[in-house]
Amino acid sequence: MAEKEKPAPREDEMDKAPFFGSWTGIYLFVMAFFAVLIGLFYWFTVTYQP
Amino acid sequence: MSNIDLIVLLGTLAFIVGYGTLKYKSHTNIEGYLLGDKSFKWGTIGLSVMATQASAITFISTPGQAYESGMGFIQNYLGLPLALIIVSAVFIPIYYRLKVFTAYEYLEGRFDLKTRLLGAFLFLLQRGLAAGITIYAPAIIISTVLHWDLSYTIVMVGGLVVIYTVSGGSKAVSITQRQQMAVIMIGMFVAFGILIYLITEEVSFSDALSLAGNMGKLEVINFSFDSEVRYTFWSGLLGGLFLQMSYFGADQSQVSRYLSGKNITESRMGLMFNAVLKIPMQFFILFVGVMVFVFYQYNLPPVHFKVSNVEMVQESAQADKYLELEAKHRQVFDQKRAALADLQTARLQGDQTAIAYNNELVNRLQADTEQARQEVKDLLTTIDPAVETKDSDYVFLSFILEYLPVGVIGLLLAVIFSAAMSSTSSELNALASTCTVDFYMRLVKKDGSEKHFVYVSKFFTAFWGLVAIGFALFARLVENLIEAVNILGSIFYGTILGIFLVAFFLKFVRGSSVFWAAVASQVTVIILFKTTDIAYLYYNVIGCFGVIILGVIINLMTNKGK
Repeated sequence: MAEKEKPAPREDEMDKAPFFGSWTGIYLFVMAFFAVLIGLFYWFTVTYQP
Repeated sequence: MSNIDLIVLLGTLAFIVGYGTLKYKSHTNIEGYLLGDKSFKWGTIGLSVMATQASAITFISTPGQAYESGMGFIQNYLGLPLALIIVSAVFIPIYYRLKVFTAYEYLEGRFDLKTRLLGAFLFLLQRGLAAGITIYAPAIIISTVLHWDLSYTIVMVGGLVVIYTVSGGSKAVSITQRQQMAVIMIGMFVAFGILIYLITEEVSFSDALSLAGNMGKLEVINFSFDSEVRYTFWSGLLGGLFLQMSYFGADQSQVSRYLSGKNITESRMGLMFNAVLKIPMQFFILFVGVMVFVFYQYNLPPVHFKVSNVEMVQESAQADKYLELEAKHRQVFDQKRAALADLQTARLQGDQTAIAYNNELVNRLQADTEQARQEVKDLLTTIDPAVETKDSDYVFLSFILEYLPVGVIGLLLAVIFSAAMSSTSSELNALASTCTVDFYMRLVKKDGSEKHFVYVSKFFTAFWGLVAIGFALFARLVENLIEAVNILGSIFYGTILGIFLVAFFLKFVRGSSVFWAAVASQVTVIILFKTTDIAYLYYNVIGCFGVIILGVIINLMTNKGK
């Protein structure tokens, strides 16, 4: 007997990460971006210290 | 203000209000009215979430804060990306699974009715007051600067919002927020461009940065562990995490924004949009303030930025003393201008000794400038002890009106009005949702028709609009406006977040335990606010952990006897 195909989720139930393959990938990207931002802020602070 | 500015301002406002009112006036079901038929894509949600958080105070007060204290305020937002990730990963799937209209609906299923009502009540209390401040804050500043009547300005800002929010509901709120954000970003970039153009007539951009840094305005990150330093990396990361998690996860004015998404993907992406862009946007606004500070090193600033205070002192018996202080301020400015010219020459010659000497001289003269400004404030207090002497909220508007060209002034005023309307409209929509869903539909009438509930929601939107306008008309603020909103939020947010975290992660804790823990924590935070000087961001942490720890203890104690 052919295996039953899982029905596709309705549009309002869609939970697919549009980038990086998964939500974990997107969250890691956001955290990496944040870390770079903190690094830039720190560089800014140190470079332009009184 | 010229006629062209007035046309730009009124034209922009009329378009936004007219579009929001006429395009989305017919609603037949409650989901359409309160959640915009759950039809939005992530771009709209992202802008709507951003516009809800960025009120007029953000664009008036933040540059003034940077002008006075530098860039350190950005640390307030450091907890935001992590908070949004947690909300996206934990809160959103639960809200979607239970198909809730409001965040507090979930609390009844998890705990009991009284905990749901407590969460909803704390939200109404906090957000109802904040909505008044959101209208009052820009109105008081705009009315002072433009010599408009304060009451009329409040009624105008509040009235315009009420019109399209009542008529169009959530859909009108989200769509107009998209337009408002466009006006805001265009206006801020134009102002920044003109500012940089004006500064580079005097000094290169790189030298402007060096000057701002030398004068202590570019300290973005401070790793101090002192709990009484208001903005540090740690208070921003820890306190900010709890504040933002509570704001985005449990404040209906944000929850309703992302629950209007087409599906979970759109809602989550709307939040990630903010996780990436919010801090750079805030950095940009603060940076504009620092550049205004640099600009005023080469152009004589007023000794006091609040025009109404200056008029008061000029009409008083202390007018001569004021003129003396103004002359002293001008004299110091001229000396500082000469020192800056010497500094520039020393830089061109690469003379390190002269650079160090002039840097120190500029800082000393800046201290004299601050001294003169403080003496004016002291003078104001001798005339009227109750007068608000803090003038940093007026710095950016004063610059706009004095130095920006005709037409751009109107655009920048439209930015401020747009920002006021965008956050107020979300607040009114959320207050109405909570009143309708958590109180009216739950306690008063469960079996009404969709049409009936739409009418009730419209009634509550108008009601909260009138409450906010009324509160704004009678409000009298004593501190920095943006801080007033954040402090108010911090007092209540910790408790609300604590309730939600217990609900999500401590499945063994029951309704009565968390209810009494929340009441005790809220009372504790209010007592701490009244009696201590703890940095306000920590109230979020205290309130939240208070609910969690007390909830567990009460639960253990009440279970022991059974």
